[in-house]
Amino acid sequence: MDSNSKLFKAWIEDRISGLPDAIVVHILSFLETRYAVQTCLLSHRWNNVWTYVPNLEVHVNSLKCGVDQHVRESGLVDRVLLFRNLSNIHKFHLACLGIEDYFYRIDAWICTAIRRNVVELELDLWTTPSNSYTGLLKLPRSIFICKTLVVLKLVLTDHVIAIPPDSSCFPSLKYLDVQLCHPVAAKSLAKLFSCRYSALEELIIHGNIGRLRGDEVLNLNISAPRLKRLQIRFCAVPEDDPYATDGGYEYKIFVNANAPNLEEFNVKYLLASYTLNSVKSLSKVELKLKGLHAGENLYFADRIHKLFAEIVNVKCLSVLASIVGDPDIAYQYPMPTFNNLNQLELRLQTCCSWQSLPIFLNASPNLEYLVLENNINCRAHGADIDDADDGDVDDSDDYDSHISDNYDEDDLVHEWSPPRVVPICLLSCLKTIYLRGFRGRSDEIEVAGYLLKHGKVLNKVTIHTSNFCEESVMELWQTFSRLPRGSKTCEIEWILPKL
Amino acid sequence: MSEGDMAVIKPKMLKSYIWLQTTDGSIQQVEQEVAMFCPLICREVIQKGMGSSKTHAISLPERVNTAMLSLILDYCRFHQVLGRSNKECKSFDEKFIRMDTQRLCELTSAADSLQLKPLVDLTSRALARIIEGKTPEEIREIFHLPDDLTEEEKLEPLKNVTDDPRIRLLNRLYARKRKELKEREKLKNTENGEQNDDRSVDDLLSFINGEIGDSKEIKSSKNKKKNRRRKDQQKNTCLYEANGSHEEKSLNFVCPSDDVNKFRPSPSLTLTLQDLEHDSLNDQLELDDGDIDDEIDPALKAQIDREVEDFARRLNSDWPQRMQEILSLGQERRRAQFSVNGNDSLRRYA
Repeated sequence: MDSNSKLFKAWIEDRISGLPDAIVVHILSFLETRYAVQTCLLSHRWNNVWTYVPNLEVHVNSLKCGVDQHVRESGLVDRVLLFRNLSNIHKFHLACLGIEDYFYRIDAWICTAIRRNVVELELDLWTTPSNSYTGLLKLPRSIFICKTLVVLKLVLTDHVIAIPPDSSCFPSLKYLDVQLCHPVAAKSLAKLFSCRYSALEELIIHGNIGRLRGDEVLNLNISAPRLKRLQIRFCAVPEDDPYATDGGYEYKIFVNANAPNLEEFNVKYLLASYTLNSVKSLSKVELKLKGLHAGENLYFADRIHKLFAEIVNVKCLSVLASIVGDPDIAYQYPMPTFNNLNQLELRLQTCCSWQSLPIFLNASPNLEYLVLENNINCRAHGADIDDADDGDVDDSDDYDSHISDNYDEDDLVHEWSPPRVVPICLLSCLKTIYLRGFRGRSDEIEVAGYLLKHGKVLNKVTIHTSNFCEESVMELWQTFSRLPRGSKTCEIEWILPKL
Repeated sequence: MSEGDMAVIKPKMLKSYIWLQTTDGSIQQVEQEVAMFCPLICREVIQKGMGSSKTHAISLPERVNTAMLSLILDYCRFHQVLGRSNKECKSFDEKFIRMDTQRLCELTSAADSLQLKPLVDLTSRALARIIEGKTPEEIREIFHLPDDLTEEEKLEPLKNVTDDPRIRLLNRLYARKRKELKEREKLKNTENGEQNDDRSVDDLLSFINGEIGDSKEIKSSKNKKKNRRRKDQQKNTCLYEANGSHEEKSLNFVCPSDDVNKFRPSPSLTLTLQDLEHDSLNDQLELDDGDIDDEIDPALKAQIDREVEDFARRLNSDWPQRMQEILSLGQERRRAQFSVNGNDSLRRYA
């Protein structure tokens, strides 16, 4: 009875097989399909569990080990799709490298997923990096008319294009994430948005579109009446020569978003010409234009000014655009008045002057909450593609990144000259100030002193230092306690960085 | 308002408690906000008014024992506090699920019965991470799964890693054997009606190792005990065969399938011959074959050894004579198996 007791013992200790089917399927749904399918070899109970897993995640990588591997892996996809039962696929993530060998099969896989009423589709399709290949994978038409598709993430390259049929497409699509991998024909990107996205709520475009050749112009017309969040995070930098003098293809890019319900608008890298028809609905805007330094082409000033005019009714604004502080520009392009602006986050690079502070303060009469971030790393022009597409990384949380080698010691830039007239918001409504990346330089203390002195309704000033040693913080603390305060209720809070 | 509702919203008490009873009998009281984090408890309190006193304690589903309940309550206690940052939650979760796999499974089960979805997700992900990237053997070992798929596993084509022509041949032979097994199955077990989705098992097995050529060979079935045992016998003999005189045999048997087919007077005979062939080759090249050895009774070993020697001798004689032998051997062997079955203690599946 040796085998008997062994079996009995196994039954006692095997807890995972005792879990209900739904849970086991749930566990397997977190695995890459290859591993989920392997579980059918575990024991009888696990024989067919994998066929009920609604998520498929497949990676086909032909660069790994020769042709055999890739043929086998793509064969796996075929067989998985054939042998799993006919239930719906909830999520299909297909990541393939070297797709030039099996375009038609990819087409079949995507069509199968659509027939199984896929809800979330993620397509990372890459050809083998090489300059000579000229084939083209057009995503199947059934994607565009799929009624169940809610989330779509895809990568557009010069070998993978998506051209929707004429009228409205994606009837249920709420979330669209498009990654551009240069070189992408501007035409194909424009065509993707040539139809109406009736259900779309969130749109993200990121990556690098590369060089716009000759007379090529990119006209992105986004028609999405329900769009709430729009993120334009792509750049136009020729990858073969990031420091090219004919760079800055932004001037050839026009983004026209017909989104009357737009609530959030994020722009990173790209100062295209933006037209938004979202006069009343915008609540949160984030502009992160690191490469736009003071002293640049005045052309950009025009665009920035236009952009500010578009977002003039915003409630929360976060700006990183050093060009705003340029005195020539400030004179030529006066800032519009942000009447609804309640919260402002002003982020200044090391090359930037303090000039943008009074400009913004004067433009926001109803400002209540101010975040002032100083000493942001200012890299050389054109090198910003290094941090291209850091996704959701919120680098404003990492204060230590401000301690950099690029610290600019140019005193002129950091001179603070107080404005002639005290901004209204300081006198009447600014209640909270948050200073980040504070180093304790004399000009920084001057600025803080100015705000403290004229902030008549200030409640709280929080200072987040990037100084490590306690003595300098004590010094600063003492200096600050001696500064005159315009508001009796104002208290100062110091936050030291974690060691 | 029912009594239960009153208990929940009593204003004068500083803290309300809810009484819970687990299946192993223990009753405990838990802070209300912590307990209400579980949808099942929440529903019991609100809809049925239970849990207000010791006598009306909410009886929890049987999958929730005292140990699991305390873990779950720890989880609830942390997460029901509002305003925790993402980082805090993540680091708590990471520390929370550091436990052995048995407890993790129990916890998943308990959380599921209480319908606490965030905890189910957390534990499921942890279990998925454990399963990920491991071979079936490793997974079986971690979770103590019974290894009851051995037969089919043995039929599984080997990974064609080295692209060895012999392995390719072996895979093809395997596929043919599976087909024949299925036919034999159908012949012998007509009364069982076990025609459920057996096909898929084998398909899965073949494609998992990416055996492209054999995609056509589909038929096989889960073997009944009888067949299993019979093949075990064959395999065991072959094991010793392989050790003994494999070299010579390999010369004879690693030939193109055509040659083998030439000597095929009847399907059943061929089956036997090929069985032996395949198993021996299999045993030589087998990658993971721990199980057979464990189960062999030493008393039987000697007998099998003898038979192996016998057979080896016969195989090394010339063909026509060999054919004669085999014809008789086939029948003998079957008879021998039955007799061996009668008094042996070699049993895989009691």
